[in-house]
Amino acid sequence: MIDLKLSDDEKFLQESVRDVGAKEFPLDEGIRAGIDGRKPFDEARWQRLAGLGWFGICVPEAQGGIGLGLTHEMLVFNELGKVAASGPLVGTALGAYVAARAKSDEIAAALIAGQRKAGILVGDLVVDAGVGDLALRVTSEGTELLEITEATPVVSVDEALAVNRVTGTTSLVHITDDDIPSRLRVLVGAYLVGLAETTVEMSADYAKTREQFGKPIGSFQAVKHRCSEMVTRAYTAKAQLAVGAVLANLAATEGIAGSGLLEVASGYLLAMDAAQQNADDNIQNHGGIGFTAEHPAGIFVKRTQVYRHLGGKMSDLIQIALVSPETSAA
Amino acid sequence: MDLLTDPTITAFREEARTWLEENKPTEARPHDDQAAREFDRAWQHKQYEGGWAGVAWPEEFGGRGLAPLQQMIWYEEMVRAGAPSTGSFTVALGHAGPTIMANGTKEQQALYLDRIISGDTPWCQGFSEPGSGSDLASLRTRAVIDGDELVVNGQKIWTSYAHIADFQELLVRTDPEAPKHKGITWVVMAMDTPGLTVRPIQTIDGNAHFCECFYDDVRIPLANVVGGLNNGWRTAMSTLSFERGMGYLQSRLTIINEVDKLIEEARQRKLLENDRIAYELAHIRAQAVTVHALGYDGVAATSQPELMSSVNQIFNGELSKSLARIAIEIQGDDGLERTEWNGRYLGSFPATIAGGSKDIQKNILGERVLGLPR
Repeated sequence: MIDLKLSDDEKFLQESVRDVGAKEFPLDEGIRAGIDGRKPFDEARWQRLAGLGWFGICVPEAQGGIGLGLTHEMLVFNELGKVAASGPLVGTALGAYVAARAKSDEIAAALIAGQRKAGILVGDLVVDAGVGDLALRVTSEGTELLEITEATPVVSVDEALAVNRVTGTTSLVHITDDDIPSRLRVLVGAYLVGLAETTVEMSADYAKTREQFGKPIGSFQAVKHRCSEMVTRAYTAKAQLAVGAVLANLAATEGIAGSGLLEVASGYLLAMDAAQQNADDNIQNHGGIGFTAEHPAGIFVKRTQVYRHLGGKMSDLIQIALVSPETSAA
Repeated sequence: MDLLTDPTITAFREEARTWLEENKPTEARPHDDQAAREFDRAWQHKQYEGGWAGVAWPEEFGGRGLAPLQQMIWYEEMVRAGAPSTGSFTVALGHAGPTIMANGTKEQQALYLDRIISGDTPWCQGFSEPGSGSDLASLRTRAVIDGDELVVNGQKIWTSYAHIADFQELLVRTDPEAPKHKGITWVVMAMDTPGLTVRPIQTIDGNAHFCECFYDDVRIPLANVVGGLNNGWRTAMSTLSFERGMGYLQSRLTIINEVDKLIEEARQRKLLENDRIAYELAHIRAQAVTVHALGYDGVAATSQPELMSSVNQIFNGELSKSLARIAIEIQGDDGLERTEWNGRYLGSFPATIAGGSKDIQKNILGERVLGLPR
């Protein structure tokens, strides 16, 4: 039986990330990136985020982290998704956790402190990391933290994020703990749900104010119902991902192997759909203005195109979802 | 957010699991309606004797007086054990009972509740009319006061199990001059009252659970009015929000068993090697798993009730239909013959219509949750 009520400290963390996120990541930045090209990586901002401890949420206190659970970290990434925050956020936070698991305390400390950063490696493409940075490769066989020694930039689908093709690496850390793919999916999934939630807000706000035929377009069922479908997707994905996070956390705290594997994969599949469909519907709700580079709706479309690839292969997700274990929840 | 490991919770689950293993019916629910009625009564009565009827019903009304959390655990164990659902007691336990608890007089509570929870009397719901579906408040079945009785004339439709129920929760118009929400009364009608004719409607799956009810000078004592004359809309809404929230949770949770059965069938037919079918089944299973999470969400009750109930109604309805559609694809040409799966498909349409159509649920989400204009 799982209690989905937020604890006081979960609520507190959620609210503090919400406040900082809105200040640090104005949507205008994503719009400017789309029009003018990406600005250089904002090192000062990265330091401020590191100073808040966001890259060491789940790392034990003895190893320099905050020592909280995966549900806390999920809430942080959900808020970061809501503001479409840029930077190698998931790779750095999970990279620090993986390094700490492997007792590579120095690497963990450098990531937590913002001295180094780690991007997620998908095939030979890495997001928001270049030569000298780290890359985190998570597969069902194992997890590896690599140093990037050679890489060339490619044109990124999302101008606010840098994508590099990696041609040379040195392996720093390798672990085979089988709960890391689930932890990755919780963080990426939470970010995707955050994207999906913001598009609901954007659509509803616009539908209340934009008028055609003398009334707000939100009074037309074609628009109203689309907004309601968007709510349903975001809401259900969020609930399932939360259940997954509670169970996946038990792999670390109670040593329950495979805990939450199905639940997290399920939540992640719903989160991918929610982000993708909602981003798409959000543009439809906005009409022509929605697909212009000056409007923020496009940020959510592009960000989804990147993040939906970060949580692992679709073939892995399908395999997990089709295995028939006992239905969860001890 | 956390896993609850409180020993009292674990003990409750163990107790439920053991009782179900020892007491759940081993024979399938019969197809014949009268036999199904007796099956439902016997099963409900057995749960009552074992102390499992109405886990979350207050003790003063014969329940166990436990929290929604224990109710959810009980449902989970019912599904796990493959135990039969409430069947023809769904309205009694899910709408009529809670409505009488919330709005009834002491006499009404004493008269009806014990016979519901003990498995004696199935109920049905006389709400929809041929001209009043989504716009329920426009209902026109008329009731005129004559002495200490209401005299009812009109017609109801989509009344599930009316042909095997003992009582009906009935909405009638008692003040035709008042605005449409203000002139309605909620009243209890015994199904053997003279002037009532019940006619089952055959649906495209061959079943006949939905019925039409015709009222020809049906006389109902005024003492049967629950919640006050002309206050029926408010009385009825207290049950509908329950129906759309936790009310159907048990039957919703069973879908995971159906999905697993279909995945097994696809495996045997070597169709999991088909990428598209594997992809769709994986998504359907992910959604079936999510039904559980929505149950936990209902227990936590941190969201607005309209949000939870409408999301549940839309999500579960669409899931039921997706499952039925992929099932007929998986059985392929074998589906020329009537099978369990295409039978399920033919019976899947009420999933997004009954209890408030998905379209109405989207209006509710849009207007009451997102604040969009009407």
